[in-house]
Amino acid sequence: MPLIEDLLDKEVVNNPYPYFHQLRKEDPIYWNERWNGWVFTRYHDISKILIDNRFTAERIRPSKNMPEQMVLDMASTYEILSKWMVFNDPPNHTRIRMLVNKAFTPKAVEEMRPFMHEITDYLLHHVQSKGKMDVISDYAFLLPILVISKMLGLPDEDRDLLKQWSDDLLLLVFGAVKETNRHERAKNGLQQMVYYLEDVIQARHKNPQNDLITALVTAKEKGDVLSMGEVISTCTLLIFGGHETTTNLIANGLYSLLKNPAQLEKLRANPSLIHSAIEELIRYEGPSKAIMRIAKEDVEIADKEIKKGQRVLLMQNIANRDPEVFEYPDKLDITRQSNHHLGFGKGIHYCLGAPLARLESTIAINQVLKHLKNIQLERTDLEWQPNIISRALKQLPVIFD
Amino acid sequence: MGNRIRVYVDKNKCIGSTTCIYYAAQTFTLDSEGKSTVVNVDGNDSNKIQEAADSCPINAITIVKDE
Ligand code: HEM
Ligand code: SF4
Repeated sequence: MPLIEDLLDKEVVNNPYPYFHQLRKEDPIYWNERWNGWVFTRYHDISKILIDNRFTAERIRPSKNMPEQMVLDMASTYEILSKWMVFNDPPNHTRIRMLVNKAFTPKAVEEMRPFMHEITDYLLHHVQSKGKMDVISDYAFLLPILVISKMLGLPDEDRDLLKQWSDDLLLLVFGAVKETNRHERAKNGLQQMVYYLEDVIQARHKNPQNDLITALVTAKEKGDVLSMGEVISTCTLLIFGGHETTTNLIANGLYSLLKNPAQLEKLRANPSLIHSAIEELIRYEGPSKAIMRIAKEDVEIADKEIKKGQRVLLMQNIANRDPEVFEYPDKLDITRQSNHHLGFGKGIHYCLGAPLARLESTIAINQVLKHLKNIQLERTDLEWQPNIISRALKQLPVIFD
Repeated sequence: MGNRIRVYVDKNKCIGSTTCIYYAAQTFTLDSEGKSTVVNVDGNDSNKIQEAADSCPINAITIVKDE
């Protein structure tokens, strides 16, 4: 088969599955010259690498061909990102994750339930009379940022600021390559957010509240606490890590249901299927397309020799459609059982926000089904963002009665 | 005297986060597939084991107290 070197090839981006199914068959561990790394597409290979400590998650560094001045300018951004637990290995990773675990508890997530209802009611009420909306900009994009700001304990009036800064940094992390000024905007957005968070954190030190920032500031584990820098950095991770991903789960999930009306009707008729439905929507068209790791030593997998320092791209969405593991992988089945998808990763970095993401998307999708009658896609020629690691529609216009 | 409890890991659910091992390293260990198994219910203090169960990100650990 003619291998497509450009992972951002328009056709592959818009409809990745035929191409990657064939790639999985013909060259499941494939060296992509252009991306300069290995592309993995089999479930079992990916699953093993995610728990293999010969691969490191420390991958935040300026790219090789960045001019020196830019590297200096970006130093503060990398300083923050380098403290994100997701870019750390043990023992640093263990330390930060276990401390954050103390604050980001299932109880803290559950307490957000009424607020999630309130916000989704409000947003849907707003569009109801119009008979149409863009699911992303009118609905799915707003919920996660409002929820995490509320959880952290940030004042309502500052949410727009956070949303702006968050958009700016996403450019860097999710690498929308063709955007000009992307480093500049990311740097400014992050820097402003850091100053802002510093003030809030200091205020909570003096005057504890019942919120996540206070819980992070006061979290203790085996006599250890998070430093100021670590609290700031973790807040930015919680804001960014959960924003675009949850937005896209809601949007991709609704899109998949709208493309499969029989499944949508089944869910309407049996609301208790929502839990297996959410897992299936993550498997079928999950927001995280791929996870990256770097080999710390030479590693042999199947007949391939991964050299120390080489990058590997673990294609979660393709693993989630591996026929070795999933029956009728290209079929959306909201009743699917034993759905061990890799949409939230696996192993020590397994998504810390998974309970929050599950609850938000459950409520968001339930509320749409409840409030919007006869919802349909306005168009079917939708486009996906040209992006290697996230699966995101550009827009999702729908109409309803 | 040992802990009067039984501890189960649902291997079907476990995603190998190693969180339980962090809290109760003498009780849980990872098997060759990267899933947690109970090696010794008396390995740690029972409230450490409880903490491990409470911290599991996918709720895969069940503790049953003997009467
Ligand atoms: C549907 C929505 C989401 C998806 C698909 C998702 C996906 C992922 C994935 C695949 C990883 C593992 C990355 C790796 O192994 O390198 C991860 C890690 C993480 N996610 Fe999520 N995520 C979602 C929502 C959230 C939310 C709402 C939050 C928090 C507010 C969050 C916070 C985190 C954090 C803190 C980590 C790092 C965990 C660690 O390194 O130990 N995520 N997420
Ligand atoms: S904490 Fe839960 S998911 Fe993590 S290893 Fe233990 S049993 Fe498995």
